[in-house]
Amino acid sequence: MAEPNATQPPMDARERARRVRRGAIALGLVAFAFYVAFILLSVSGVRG
Amino acid sequence: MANTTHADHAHDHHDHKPHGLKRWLFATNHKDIGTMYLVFACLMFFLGGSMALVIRAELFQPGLQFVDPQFFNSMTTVHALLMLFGAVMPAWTGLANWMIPLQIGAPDMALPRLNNFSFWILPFAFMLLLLSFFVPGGGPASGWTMYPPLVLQMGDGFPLMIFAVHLMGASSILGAINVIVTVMNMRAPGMGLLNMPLFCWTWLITAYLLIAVMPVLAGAVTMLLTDHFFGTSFFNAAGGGDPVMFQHIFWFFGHPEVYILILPAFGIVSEIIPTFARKPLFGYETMVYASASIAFLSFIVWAHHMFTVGMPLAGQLFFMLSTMLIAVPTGVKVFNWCATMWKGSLTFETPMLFSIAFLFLFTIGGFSGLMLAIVPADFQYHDTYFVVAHFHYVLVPGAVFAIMAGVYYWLPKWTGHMYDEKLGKLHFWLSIIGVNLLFFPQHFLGLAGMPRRIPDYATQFADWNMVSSIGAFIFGFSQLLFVAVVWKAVRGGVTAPQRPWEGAHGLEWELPTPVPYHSWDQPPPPSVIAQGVTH
Ligand SMILES: [Cu+2]
Repeated sequence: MAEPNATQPPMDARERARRVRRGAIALGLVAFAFYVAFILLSVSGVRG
Repeated sequence: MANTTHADHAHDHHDHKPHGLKRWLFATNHKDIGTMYLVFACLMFFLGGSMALVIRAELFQPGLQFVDPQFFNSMTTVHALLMLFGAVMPAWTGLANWMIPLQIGAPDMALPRLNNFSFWILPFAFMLLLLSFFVPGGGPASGWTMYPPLVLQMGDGFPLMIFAVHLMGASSILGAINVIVTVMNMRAPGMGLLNMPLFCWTWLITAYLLIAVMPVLAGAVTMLLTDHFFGTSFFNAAGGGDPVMFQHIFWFFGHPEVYILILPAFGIVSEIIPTFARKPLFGYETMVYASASIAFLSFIVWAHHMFTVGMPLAGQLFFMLSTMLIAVPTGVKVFNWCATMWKGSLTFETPMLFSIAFLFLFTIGGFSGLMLAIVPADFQYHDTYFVVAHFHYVLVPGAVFAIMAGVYYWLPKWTGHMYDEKLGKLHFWLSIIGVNLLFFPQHFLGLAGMPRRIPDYATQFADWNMVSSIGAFIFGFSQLLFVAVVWKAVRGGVTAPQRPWEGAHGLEWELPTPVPYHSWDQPPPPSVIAQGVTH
């Protein structure tokens, strides 16, 4: 059980926008990396 | 109410909606995009449902009556693709769009224009898929699993299907990115991760699953494309490739996909049961950890879909035992839902009825899954109607019932009107009778050896197929009632109070009813958050 944490400082809007953008780009890159990795894995002939 | 001031403020100054077609085409408001997702999901649900009725009409009696076998196979394939990628997943994304910002005290999703883009990809994706019916060779007929070499025998529709799957994947990945960055960055001050309602939690976990596995599906179908058109031999044994490798890659996506479809259902049911039991959810934190464990385990069980391809005994044992392990966190959840209802003051409004039905019938689907996990038994059940019965129990009275429970639950909040409870209950009872008549006999058919994906069958299967088909038509047509109930509530009806369900907790209920077009322009103060958090 977690109590609402009133001490957490409000995030500055520009800082928040920066974190959102960075997070989204990072996640997009992760997704793209998985896509490429699975194809490369298959090219290199790893068998299940 | 402590929040009246913001609510009025929002209402006075910010409730201007854009008008006409532009409102929808260029929508960036999370509620508009959520509505579009839900309407789209509903259309696909009926389109995929009518394909299911073609299947059940053909199977009503042995012999070939209505469609030729090729078209029958197209029906099973496209029914699955529409229901999974067109109905259930967009319905979850629609509910996420509507509810996550309201529940975490955020004014909107973090990336509204990306949100618009990820929705508008979908109609094009499904137009491409359906277009394949009208080109030489006809629609995809390989089963939704698209196994080579069969799938490579498709006609001109093949690239259309592959491109459609790519687009669906891209749309889900963009939607998932949006959910993650929203939950991680847009929570109101004081709304800790462990204060969030479970729907936000299960969706957050779902979003991570999507980002991990949708690219894997995209990779698999890209390789199908190059095998077909560019002379590669990824899955072609004659060229040194391995068709079984496709199955491994596909199910590495496919099993987590199952949890993508069901985790948000766990979240919704975890909110509805406490409301109508008038008790806080039993074991909130264990619910979060159980969801995370289920997500983790979903990556190490994939080969239970392909025991019969021939694999080393150690592999069979590993995948059998890891699969059975999933019953533990799932059991924790079922226990918690029962314990929440224990000694609660229960009432049985339509959302609660659908949630309780979910609890019983999803559990039946879980148990038959456990049976399928047993390797020697699976050799008998594999590719029979038992499998069809299993996953339809998980997906229809599982995922679909939870979506409907969620829509009934939040409909008064969205529209400002109470839905027609009598019609809602009628919809529920017809659905539950129909769905059990439809899918329960399929267990018997499968155990007796009836294979899946066939338009004709031996006469000993005739009786239960007839029962199943009657159930299908009852279930299918009773869904029109659902549309009627929703439409009635949108058009008018008894005005809903701010908190239509007395036992409801969560930030969405601290907003006025109907929710203003712009909500939580200023984050809710900690006192309001404390009021919304009950666990
Ligand atoms: Cu599985």
